[in-house]
Amino acid sequence: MTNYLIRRVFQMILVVLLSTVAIYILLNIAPGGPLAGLRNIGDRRSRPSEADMARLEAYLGLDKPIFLRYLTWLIGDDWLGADWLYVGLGNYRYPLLGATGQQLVETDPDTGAKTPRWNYARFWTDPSPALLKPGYVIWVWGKETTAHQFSADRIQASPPPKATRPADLVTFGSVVKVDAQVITIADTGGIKSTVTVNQNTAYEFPIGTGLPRPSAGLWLDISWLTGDTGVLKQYAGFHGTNRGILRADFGWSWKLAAGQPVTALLKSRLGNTLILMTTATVVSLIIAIPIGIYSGVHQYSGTDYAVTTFAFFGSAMPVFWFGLMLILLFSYSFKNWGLPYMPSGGTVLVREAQPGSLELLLNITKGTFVDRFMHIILPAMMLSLLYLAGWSRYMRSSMLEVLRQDYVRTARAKGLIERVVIIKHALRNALIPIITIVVFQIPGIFGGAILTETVFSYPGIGRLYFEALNASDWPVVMSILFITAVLVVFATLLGDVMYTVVDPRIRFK
Amino acid sequence: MAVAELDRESLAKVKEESYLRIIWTRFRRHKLAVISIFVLTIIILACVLASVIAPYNPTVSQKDASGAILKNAGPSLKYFMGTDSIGRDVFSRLLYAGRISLLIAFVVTICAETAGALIGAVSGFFGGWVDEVIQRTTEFFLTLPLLPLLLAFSALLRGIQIPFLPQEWSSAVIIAIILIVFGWMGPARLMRGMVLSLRNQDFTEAARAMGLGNFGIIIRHMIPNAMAPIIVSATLDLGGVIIYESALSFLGFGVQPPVPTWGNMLNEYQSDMWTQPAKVFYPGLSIFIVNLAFNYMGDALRDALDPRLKR
Repeated sequence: MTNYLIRRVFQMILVVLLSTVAIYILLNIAPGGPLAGLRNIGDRRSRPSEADMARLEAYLGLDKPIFLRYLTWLIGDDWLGADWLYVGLGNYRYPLLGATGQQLVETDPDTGAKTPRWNYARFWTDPSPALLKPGYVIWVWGKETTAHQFSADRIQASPPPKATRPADLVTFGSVVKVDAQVITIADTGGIKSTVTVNQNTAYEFPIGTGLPRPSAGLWLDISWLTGDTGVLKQYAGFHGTNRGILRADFGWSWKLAAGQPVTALLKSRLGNTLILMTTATVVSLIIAIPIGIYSGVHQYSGTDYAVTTFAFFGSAMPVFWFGLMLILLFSYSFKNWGLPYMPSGGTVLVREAQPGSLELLLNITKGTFVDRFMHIILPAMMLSLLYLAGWSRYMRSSMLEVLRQDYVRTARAKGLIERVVIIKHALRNALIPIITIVVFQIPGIFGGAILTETVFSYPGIGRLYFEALNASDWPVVMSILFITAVLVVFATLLGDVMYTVVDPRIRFK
Repeated sequence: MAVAELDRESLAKVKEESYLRIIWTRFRRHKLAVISIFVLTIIILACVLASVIAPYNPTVSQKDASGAILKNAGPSLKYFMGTDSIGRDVFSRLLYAGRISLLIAFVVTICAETAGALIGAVSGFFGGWVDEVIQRTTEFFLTLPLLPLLLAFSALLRGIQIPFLPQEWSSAVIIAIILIVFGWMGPARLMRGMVLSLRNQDFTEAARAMGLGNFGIIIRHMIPNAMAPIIVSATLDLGGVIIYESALSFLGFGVQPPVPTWGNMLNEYQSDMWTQPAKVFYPGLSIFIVNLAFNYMGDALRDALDPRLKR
């Protein structure tokens, strides 16, 4: 069993990695790349210029070669350009320094208590002039040796606060060229000067950590990979903040909620979808299992025919149309007929309950549990139909299969009453395949949730996916696809394991 | 003394029942499936002959006597499902929509089943690493969440124009290709299972002894012998393809208007559901009936083609 589990987990990892490749190819399959939509904007004035597009591509990291883009999407780009990896639990903590070099403190506005502020790092970049790329604007501290010739004590890539500008700040400008020890910079007037650096020059770049690497903690040298002389040396000094989807950083939304991390977007919708999916699964199970048992036990009875016909109709029904029909009946027609009608969308009441509605009849206040419950009835009905139909069919055939077994006949021969035979001997065995099927299908319910949430304008992950596809918000789309793929793989494993737990006859090698 | 002498003359007169006839006899026992064939024939004929039957052009807005566009007309003798929000005749659109929906379903199913059968046959026949690779690929495809992926692909390829095709056909072709790419796994598994049991039988050995090559055996012996379950799965899949295509079109990522399909008609009519509820009814009902009929037919075919499954 342990061996089997280990092998399965390895397979799982492989499948997840493969599906990330598939998902990433997805993004890049469209001709013109993911920004094709922007290029094709008909109105000339709102179409971004080539320079804008280039900047956008750089911002989204689309200018990198594809394998690196995939890699940074997967495991982030904070390691890129780093020389050292901190090996330890959590991140390495070091003091956050102010412009004058003292540690910054945070003052609690209520108590006046002062707490020091910290920076956290997993990756560290050794300071070196190689980190400077043409185009960076730097501020130089040091001495002017001759005209336009400086020797630097400290180079910083962010402007010092004006009020505390230190007296020994000698020059600033944008980098034109970087040689081993000499940096050529140009000021706003275009006048070039050279800055010589030495062993003791300190660097502070937002791109790297700038400070010398602390001696505390266990640091792993990865400069062979992304350092100045490493394999990916063209990225030396580049230090991103993205941690990659494998480390649960899904990046930033491009359009739907531009400037918001996808994680926040997902979090805001996840609860609603979980409520909907749980309700639908529980309702389906509660209804499907008893009617499956009944029609299995009473095979070819009138009820059995009714159940099988219903199951057949249910699985042939286009669920989205079924949802529309539910709205049409319970919201539209009930309203016309003067009956208490159901809400047709949303999660809670937006305005006060309208005259004639079920909410007003039951005197429901906005935002309460009952209010949520009212709004979930119709979507849950729609979502559970398909599974209800399928699961009752499975339950029926599983029950029929078990009732033919010898041990059931033995139980009857022992003189047990029929109810005990069915519940204790038949049902417990008949449930085994059902459990697996249910576990296997749970991630698939998400597919149904896309349709359900769209029909009922229910703000969950499914609707988010639909909106993201419509808005070409690819980071959101890819995150949801990735999470779904992981869930599917996980559910498959869980189903297999549960199979052995509930059925001791099955042993995996 | 003659011991129950067989009458040669009369034996020769007894006609051997043909295989198809036997199947038809068994198929006929399933009353609902026979009804399904009738219904399907009527629907398919109506859709194929849409250009003859449809009273109006499905893309032209109808005008009343005064020349104003007839928006959202109710059902009448002239337009017996009414007209839509820009005055097009709903009934005509429904017929033309069925043509596209059914065409996509048939094309996708035929291509996917053929591809799946070939892949499965190769996988089962050769075994070894070929089988291993194909099986792992199949499993991988089966693991993927289908509807979200279909949506993502269709969304990405939504605006693409296929060369040498009329613009309105592009999206239909793209959807068909996407559905084929994600639809071959079922028949592949089925075919592999059949071929695994067939390849060790004597007639395969005989065919090889007669000098038939591997692919010859696959095409001449494996596939025809494993045809029955493939036909059943194809019939059942037809309904599934219609559902998936209409789900994609319903969400706006499938076949793009003005080409009508049942799915995108539902999408269009959903927006004026509160004023024109009846129109939402027709396209969905068509999908439902066609899917139900294909399911019944598949069920009956399974019973008819595989007597062992018969109770």
